[in-house]
Amino acid sequence: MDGYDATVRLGAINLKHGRAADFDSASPDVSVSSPVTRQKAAAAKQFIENHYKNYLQGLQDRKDRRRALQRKVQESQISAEEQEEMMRNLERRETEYMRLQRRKIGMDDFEQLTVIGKGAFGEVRLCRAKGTGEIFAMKKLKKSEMLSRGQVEHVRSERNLLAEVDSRCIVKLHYSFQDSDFLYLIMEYLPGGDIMTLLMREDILSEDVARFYIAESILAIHSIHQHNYVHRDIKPDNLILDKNGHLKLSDFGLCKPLDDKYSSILLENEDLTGQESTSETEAYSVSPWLMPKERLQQWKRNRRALAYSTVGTLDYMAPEVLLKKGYGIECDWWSLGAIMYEMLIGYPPFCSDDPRMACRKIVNWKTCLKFPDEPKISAEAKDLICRLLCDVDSRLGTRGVEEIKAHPWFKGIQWDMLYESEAAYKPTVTGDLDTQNFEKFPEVDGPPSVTASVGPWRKMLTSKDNNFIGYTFKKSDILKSLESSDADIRVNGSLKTPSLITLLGQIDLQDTVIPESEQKPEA
Amino acid sequence: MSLFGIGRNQRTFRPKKSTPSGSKGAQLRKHIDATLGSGNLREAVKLPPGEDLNEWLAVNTVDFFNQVNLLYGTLTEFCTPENCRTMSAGPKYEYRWADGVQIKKPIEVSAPKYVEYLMDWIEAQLDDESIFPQKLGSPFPPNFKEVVKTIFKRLFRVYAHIYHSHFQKIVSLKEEAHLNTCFKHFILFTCEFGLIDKKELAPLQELIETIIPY
Repeated sequence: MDGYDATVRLGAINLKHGRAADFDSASPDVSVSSPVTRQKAAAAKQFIENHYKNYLQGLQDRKDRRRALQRKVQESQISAEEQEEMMRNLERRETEYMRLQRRKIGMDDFEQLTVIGKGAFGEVRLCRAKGTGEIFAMKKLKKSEMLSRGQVEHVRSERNLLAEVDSRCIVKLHYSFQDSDFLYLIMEYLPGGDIMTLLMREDILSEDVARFYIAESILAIHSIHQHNYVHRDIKPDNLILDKNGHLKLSDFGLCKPLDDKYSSILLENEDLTGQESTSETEAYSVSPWLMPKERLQQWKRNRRALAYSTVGTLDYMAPEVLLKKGYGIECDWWSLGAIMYEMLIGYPPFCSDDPRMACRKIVNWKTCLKFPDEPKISAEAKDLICRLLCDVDSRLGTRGVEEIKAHPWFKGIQWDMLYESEAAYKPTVTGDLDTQNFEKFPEVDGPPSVTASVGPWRKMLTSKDNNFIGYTFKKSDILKSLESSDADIRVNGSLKTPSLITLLGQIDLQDTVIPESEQKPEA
Repeated sequence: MSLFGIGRNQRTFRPKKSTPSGSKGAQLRKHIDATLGSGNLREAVKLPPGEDLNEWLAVNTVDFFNQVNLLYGTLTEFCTPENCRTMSAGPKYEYRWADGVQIKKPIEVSAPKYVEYLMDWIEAQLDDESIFPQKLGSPFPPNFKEVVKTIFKRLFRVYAHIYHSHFQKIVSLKEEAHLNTCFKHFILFTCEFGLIDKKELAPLQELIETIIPY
């Protein structure tokens, strides 16, 4: 997909190209309304489009389930009575599912457990759904931080992508909601930790292990590209492992690398692209493996802290992103090349203690991309890395994901069977609540503040927080509920003796309705 | 029952005495064909096989409430007490608010005030576990459909106000396809289940006839 609009606004996850263009429309009509109104309108339009897409798809899925069951019961040798019983079973569960769809979801529905990530923007925490006992990862973001650091678009984009893309390669979003202080994303919990953790533990990966994870990363990245999203910030901490060791793409970093703090670095374009002085050239051309070993170890320890800080890391970012030139999906393939280098060599190709220096190295990749004599890597691996860490025009993936898959290094990969096959690495996971593959965080904050207000719901949905319109999302898994909800539901059959208050309440309710229907307009 | 009789004699809805409108309908028709192309809404409103009618009414009521809430929310800059002194739907129709409980006698209020009362009231119904049960297994009340009908009648008034008073702003914000789609779905659903009396639909009669030819 060449020719991406260079004016598409930067964000960790960009909106669809067409939609972004709509937002940037310079129609003279639009100028008569305030930015707040235009923002509300854009959010309302997207909410409605998403709604109808999901609504109609939901109805179609329901028809498909019914038809599939009908076909199944007809093929089986069971009595007509049993057939009817099975149909009634499905109907009851569909009705339950429909009720769940309009049930409001909020913090009271979850029991908060271990913190597995913490940063300036908020935290990621294990939680348990009180109703079902299911374990999720709750990502909690401070609204005030989102607003003050210009993160609103980032948050909206992430939520929209997670809600829209239903893929085994992407962490699943189950619910999103908000209160007055926080945004909440209730996501699939992946207990295997992330690739960063794996790299910190293993130092380097064998080519077989690296090949497996680079291949799964390609499928994950491609699945968001197919939905016209550019991730733009792919790095080892965004590549999460499930309990079986399969990889999913996410964004647990809680940070946005390109914020105002770095504009001073990025604004010095001439300095980044020029090689003005010999001493500077020598300084940033120093390869990572020539650094003292303890300094490299320190860099790795700092790396984890960076993942949860407001600044994050730029080490995997494509040069066209850093230079704020137009970029497209190709920038994600660059990031993959940097990750592959780190998997095989032990550190990113352009790493530095100084983020400014890292930027310079990336922009001057032609000079700075080098390979150490040790550890040895195959010629094919080196070739693939060099074809990913290069100019956009000659970068693999620019003309489609197939040209990456066809590279000789991936010989033997069964692309269709990757997620069904045994993973190259099996994380140690003990039980559903295991967090050993995540960093430990002390419970300094204690239980969350009770001051955050929840209602009224409607204002959470629209007017009070213009920036977070339509944030609520629910993706109940009908198939899971079909399998698990075998227990009969007990209807509350105990009728209380009506009290005077109850009787008055009922009368009032009836009065609320009846007078309206009797008030007919004059002819 | 005579204790509440006083409220019955009042009307929240009456036609205003003024000249009939002609140009509004023509103007509306200009943008009426714009929709999101959201598949077959006529099929989508039908009760799914085996589904409980009340459950189907409930989930759709919540959806329509959310849509109207969002669409009206984009117009708060323009729908002000100064610009919309009354909750009007064109020159012939004006709504006055009464909920029969806190405000028994219909009062004339500005459009934004009316919508606020209206949406707060609807939300109170949606949040009322005895009317819209959220727990699995809890039954709907016997008068559930009557509550739904009142909700739909009132939601229609917001659409009527938007189309008559703010449609040009909707077009400026490029929302007409979204508004039209939501309204079309709303009307198809209303007619499928007989939720709004025909007379109540008069303010947008011409628009509705393009959706459901009689």
